[in-house]
Amino acid sequence: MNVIKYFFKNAKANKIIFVMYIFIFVIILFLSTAGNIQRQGTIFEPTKSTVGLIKNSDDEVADAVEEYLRDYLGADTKLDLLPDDLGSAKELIYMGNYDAIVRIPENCKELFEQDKPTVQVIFSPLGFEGHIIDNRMKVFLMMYRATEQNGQYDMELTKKILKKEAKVEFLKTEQTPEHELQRLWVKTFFNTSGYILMAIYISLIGMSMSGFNEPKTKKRIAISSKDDTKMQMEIYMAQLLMGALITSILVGVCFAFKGSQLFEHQIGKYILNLGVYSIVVMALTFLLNNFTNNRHTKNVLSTVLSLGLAFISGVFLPQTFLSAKVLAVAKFFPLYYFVIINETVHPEVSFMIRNLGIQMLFGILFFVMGLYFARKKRIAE
Amino acid sequence: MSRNLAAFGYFLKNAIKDKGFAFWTIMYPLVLITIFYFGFSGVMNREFEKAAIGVSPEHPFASTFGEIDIIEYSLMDEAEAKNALEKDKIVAYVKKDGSMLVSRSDSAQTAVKEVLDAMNQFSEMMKSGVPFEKIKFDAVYTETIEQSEEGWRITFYSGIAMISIYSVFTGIQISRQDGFSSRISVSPFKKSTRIICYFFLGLLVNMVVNIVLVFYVQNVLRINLFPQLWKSFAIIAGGNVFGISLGILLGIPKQIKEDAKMSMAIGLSLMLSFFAGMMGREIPRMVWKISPWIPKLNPIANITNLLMRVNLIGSTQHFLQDLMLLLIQAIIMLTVGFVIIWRRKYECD
Repeated sequence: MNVIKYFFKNAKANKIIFVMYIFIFVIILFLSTAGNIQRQGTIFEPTKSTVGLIKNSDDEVADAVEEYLRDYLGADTKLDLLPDDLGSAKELIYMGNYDAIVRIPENCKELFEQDKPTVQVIFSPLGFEGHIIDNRMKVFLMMYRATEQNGQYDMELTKKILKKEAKVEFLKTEQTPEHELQRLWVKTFFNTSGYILMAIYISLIGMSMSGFNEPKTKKRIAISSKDDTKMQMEIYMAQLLMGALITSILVGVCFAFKGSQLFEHQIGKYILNLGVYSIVVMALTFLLNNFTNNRHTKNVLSTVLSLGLAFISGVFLPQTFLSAKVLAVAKFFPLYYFVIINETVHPEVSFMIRNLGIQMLFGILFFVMGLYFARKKRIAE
Repeated sequence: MSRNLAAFGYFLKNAIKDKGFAFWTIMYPLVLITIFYFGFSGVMNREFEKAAIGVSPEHPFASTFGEIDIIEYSLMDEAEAKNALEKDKIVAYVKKDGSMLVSRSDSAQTAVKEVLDAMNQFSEMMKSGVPFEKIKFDAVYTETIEQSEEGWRITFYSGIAMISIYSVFTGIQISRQDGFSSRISVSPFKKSTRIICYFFLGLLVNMVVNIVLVFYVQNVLRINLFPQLWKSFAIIAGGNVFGISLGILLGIPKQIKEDAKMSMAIGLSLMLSFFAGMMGREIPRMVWKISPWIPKLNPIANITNLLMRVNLIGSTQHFLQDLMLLLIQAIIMLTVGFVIIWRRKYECD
């Protein structure tokens, strides 16, 4: 029992590691799910693009463009007037502060009456949001121009025409947007747990184990009445307890956030997968602890291994975004199979057995290698 | 001169022998950037994906959809379309009467709806008595300026910005007060020699590592992050000066252990780079909304924005102003740090 107590005392002294990784976990979870905002309900709600305006003219056409954009944004959203700085405007687009920025030049009306490009629309070509504003400006200016009579433009008629919209019917599917959002949240939570667990296990258990290798502790162990086998058993028991505690805390946090809703999302699949993965990472930690006693090396391995594998296995970016070569490398590590199970919506039993089995094989391999290094170390001592 | 060079060589050897210093300053930057590279390799050359839609063969202007840049259409009947919508194979279906069937409310569906709206609006225009010939379909009233929003680039820029301030580790060594410092204080080296040597050593080692890193990114990983190479080096050098100044301040408190100071430096640089965009653009966007001044005061965000503006956006506006701000922050820390170190007495002084 003393051994377990000493192990947990060491872990407590390094609690900052746990706190730090939990902080990172919460941030990643927040960021990963923030981008998945879909409109809820069963009616169609168009996406409203964010727009900024650079206005260098106060003529009739410039005012009409401004009025049109204000109408588009609605009463709830303010139209930001920005300084005429193309560099800053492009930076704002890159950072996603605006989907599009409309720039009205000084000679706006003159250009308009010559049927030349009247406004500049700055946007990213990769998303639809910017294209929406670009398209809207094109249509608006074309129609506004067509209303010209005796040098006068009819803004009211243009607005009336632009109110005409296409009818939209919303197809009812089994999966509601809310259900899909929740599923994404649960999936992201467990994928991120794969990264965090590896980092915490290697780092925290590694630091706690380093305490046993300090010269003072080694001398005390040498003169104690406890036999070596019993002592090693207690150390493994302490590691298992610590691992189970960390994994339980993560699962507990998940339930604290979503409660009974989790039962609609095959939570059993996720917990079983996390449980198997925890055992595998525990075996990896066992291997690393027998491979090195150096605190610094453990810190480095914890950071590099967990972050590196998370990047190539699809924790931070979906596996579909990763190149075939990267995925080929990822297949040599258990995190890849852990993520694959989390990503599959309705996995078949054979699929689960195969991927959990591969993870377990990794676990056995790590454990056997750990035993080899442990034996080598004992002989050396 | 030769004595100073000898001192410089001695300190360089001493720094490289320090495992923590060697890993975090030399190895970690290469490892981190390589991890980023592998992680983002699949999205680096992402192109705009057109909205796949289904169109009823009976739609009067079905072929018109082929002329719209953002749409890729295929003709299908409604039953087929419903199946395709459920499986997310298409984003919308246009019925023969011009109405739209969707299963989600997203930007792709909105973009398709905008096209259908425009079709309806033109026919409404005819009904309103505007002569058809007055609509100038050939005229282009907007000029498009495209700005790429490849989000992965900010992760690289903020990562490199973070690495540029890794001279912080040398800064900590300058103001450390352990046995080594006491030993140096009774050696023939002057305190000023030690400080100046370490200062330039930090700049030299870190700058060399940063230059290697930039060449690694450009030539080995073949990511064109630095088209403006010299301006980028100037920004990174600014980051180096800032890092070393920060390290001098962090290293001063006697009560904090050396390991803890190193951890504080790593933690602080990680946190600042996180707010600068290391984990994507959401956080810096939120910070910017609170006040556009906050990113300027965060040195890593300032370096990230400078690198991004010069290389990605091609703008040098505010370049000197923002670089000066970074150097002013460094000078303030250096002045405070040097005054404290200068006044410090060792037991064996």
